[in-house]
Amino acid sequence: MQTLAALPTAQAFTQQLLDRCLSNRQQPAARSFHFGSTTLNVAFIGTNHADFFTNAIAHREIPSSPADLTVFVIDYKTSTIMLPPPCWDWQQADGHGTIHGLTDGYAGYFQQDTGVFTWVAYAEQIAIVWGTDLTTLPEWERSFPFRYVLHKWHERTSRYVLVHAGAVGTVSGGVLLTGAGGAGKSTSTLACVNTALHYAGDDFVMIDLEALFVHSLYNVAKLNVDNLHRFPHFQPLVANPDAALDQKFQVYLHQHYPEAVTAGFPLKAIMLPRFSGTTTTTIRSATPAEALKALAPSTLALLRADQRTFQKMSQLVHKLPLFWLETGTDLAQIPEQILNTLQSLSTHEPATR
Amino acid sequence: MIVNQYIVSPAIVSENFDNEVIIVNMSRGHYYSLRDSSFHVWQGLESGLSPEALLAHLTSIYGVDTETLRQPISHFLNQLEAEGLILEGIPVNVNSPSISLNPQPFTPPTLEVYTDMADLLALDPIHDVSPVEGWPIKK
Repeated sequence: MQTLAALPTAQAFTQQLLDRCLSNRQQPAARSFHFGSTTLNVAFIGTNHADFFTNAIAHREIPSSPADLTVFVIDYKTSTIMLPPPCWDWQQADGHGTIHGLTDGYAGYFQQDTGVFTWVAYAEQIAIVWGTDLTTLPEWERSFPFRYVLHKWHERTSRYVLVHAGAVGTVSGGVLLTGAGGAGKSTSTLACVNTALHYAGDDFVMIDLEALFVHSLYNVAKLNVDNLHRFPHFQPLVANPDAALDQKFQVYLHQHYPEAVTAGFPLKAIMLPRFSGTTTTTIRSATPAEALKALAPSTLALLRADQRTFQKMSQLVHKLPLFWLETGTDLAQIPEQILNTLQSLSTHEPATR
Repeated sequence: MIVNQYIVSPAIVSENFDNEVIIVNMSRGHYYSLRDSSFHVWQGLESGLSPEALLAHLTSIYGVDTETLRQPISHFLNQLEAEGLILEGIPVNVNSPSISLNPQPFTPPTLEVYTDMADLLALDPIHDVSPVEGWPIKK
């Protein structure tokens, strides 16, 4: 007769995992990164692949500091550190790899296509990103490292939310640019690089809902292969020139235009880019429902987020002025219109809230 | 089959605006927009109205008789159920939704379904788990 072994607790699983990290012969030096009020320390075990995870967040690096959350990045192939037996039944994992029904205070996600397992333990203030062979991760993974960790870390709080959006602005204020894939979010964001508007991201940013402030997460500009010709100045800067047709080119702006990248700015409005089909760019009001439809679906899907994130985004669209950004082919008009709108909001700010 | 009562599925999230409700069904990867009469139907369902009470509620909004509404509302409720947005069940509370004082012209409710989110949710079911380590095996 076969007997089923009792599953370990999430706490025991975490402790075993931590013990295996700490027993590693070569103790890794952690690097510190600051996002909002969170200091993230990242320690690599058994990988010389660190840049893959840190280039995109290099602009947020700070001198070594006490961590709110320490992330151990473990490469099984080179460290031989195996994960302990799971503390859940795999029937608890949904089709997206999210493990449900874990003890409160723990989150897990197994991405079967890449073999990467991510674990977040809130009370222990640690996260694990474990992969069988991190050198085989797809190129796009380098553009938004630790997004699931950061999302899960903030999911339980009411203050912060990660959203799928670009963000550009000045020190006095800026806008989120959001929309479904192909709407022109990246084009609009990149059209603002090297203008009076600073770049906080074109894919994911973090919003402080209390202060209405955008925190930059990633300094990677991403371009569809067939869109690069519109930004010829980026062409020699592409980090992955051999990108497949279904991948995006990546440009690390912090390396090439450090003055263009900002850590963040007050959030003044949300704009929904949409190609106008003409040369000119115009602005018109949008409704909260339109903004939520632009913001929520891709954010929820890409972060495997739940109703808490949806509710935060719902709050956000009720708090800010909202606009359609009808973009034209004359890219210079995009930052002009955004700046004009920001100026207008600044002038009439009391009436817009 | 005539269903006496529905509840809003606990698996969905929604947000109400002035004349539109946005609903997200993560398990299916779809999101929805309900406007005009479909918005009022949803408000009634959220309030816990039975299908019959819902018809009466809509009658007061649109100033038309119950029989004009019965077929399109029944069809719409079937759509909502097929999409997993409502389930058979007994609501915990029943509240009367607010009613506009000015009758509006009735147009049959429609469910705007957006499926682009499903493309982002690449389904990757975990099939095989190693009996030794207990971790999924890549085949």
